[in-house]
Amino acid sequence: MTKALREGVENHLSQYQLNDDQMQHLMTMQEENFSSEERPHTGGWNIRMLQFTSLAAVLIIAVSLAWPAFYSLNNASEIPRSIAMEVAKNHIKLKPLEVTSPTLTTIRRYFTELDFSPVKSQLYERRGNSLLGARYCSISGVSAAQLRYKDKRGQFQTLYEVGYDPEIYGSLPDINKGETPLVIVARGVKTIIWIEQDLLMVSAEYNETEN
Amino acid sequence: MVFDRPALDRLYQYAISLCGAEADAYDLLQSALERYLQAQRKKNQQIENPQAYMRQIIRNSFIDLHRQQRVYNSDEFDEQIHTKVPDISSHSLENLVIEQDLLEKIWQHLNFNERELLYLWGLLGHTIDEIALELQCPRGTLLARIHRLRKKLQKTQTLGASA
Repeated sequence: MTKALREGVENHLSQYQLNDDQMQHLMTMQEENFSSEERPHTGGWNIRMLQFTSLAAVLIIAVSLAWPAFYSLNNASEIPRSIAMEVAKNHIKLKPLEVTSPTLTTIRRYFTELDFSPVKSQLYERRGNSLLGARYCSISGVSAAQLRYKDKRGQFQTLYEVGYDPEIYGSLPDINKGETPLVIVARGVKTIIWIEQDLLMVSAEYNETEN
Repeated sequence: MVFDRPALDRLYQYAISLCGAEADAYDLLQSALERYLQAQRKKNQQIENPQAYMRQIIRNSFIDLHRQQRVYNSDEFDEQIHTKVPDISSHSLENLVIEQDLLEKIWQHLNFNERELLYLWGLLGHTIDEIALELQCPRGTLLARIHRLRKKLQKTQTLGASA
């Protein structure tokens, strides 16, 4: 049927609508934000505010005195933490795979836009998880490969691989030099960070404590 | 609640206009909403024109994503500003009629700039000046874009009719 272009565009785009789960998730995000904003202040608010301001003033003075030492220490430890946070966030979202295959060779062929080739990690392979597939992602703004595995309990695990650049990621443990990987728990996700074959690797899985 | 259901659907349709795929569009929308809510908390006040603000975040995220995936083509974003802009206006789109089936087919073959233009003009009813203001894009560039888009649509219609 012939229509005015404007009407055609309206018809075409109107067929795309969020499904109930997606809509519910976005509504919940807003509700949570709204309720945290609207939390009412209690009667002792002014006194607590005064105490807080005094404490903040003392802290500012203390930090500015100890700043040079604090800065270098803090900066070094912030990078792995931010990597862990980013990876944990991606792991929780569990976005759809762009390529599904149990073999790394097929997956490697898919990643044509990366400036490195995803490799089999000696450290990660010991876990004996089954490879499901992969998708593009990024770590600190650099294009990365996200490989998804299923462990023996049927839980999803992800392994992120990205070219290692010390200027971006700082100094991290290299298992080829016998160094021990970093373990950081972020947002309830256990992340392990290490360098292997000149790639930065980060594994992520839900942090379940054994009984 | 800032965005009700129809508003979220509209934003989702905007994200689809940019990236073309539903799963990617939802990812874009979700992360944009996260950023929006963060910005709102920081500013501690209502953001003026939340829909336009969200579209801006979605657009920036989309461009960043493409840059990261190295499929970013600056020509696609910058267009040929130096090409001679013919004497046209958005009226040249107003007068156009098209088969719905044909539009469905051609949609995926349009670049994201063209789909975005159609979204803002066709679905939101923006004028060219309003689109130029929102996209921070010279009016001449938009007119050249409309000219190419119109030619593309007409060519497809001709091919469709002769097939």
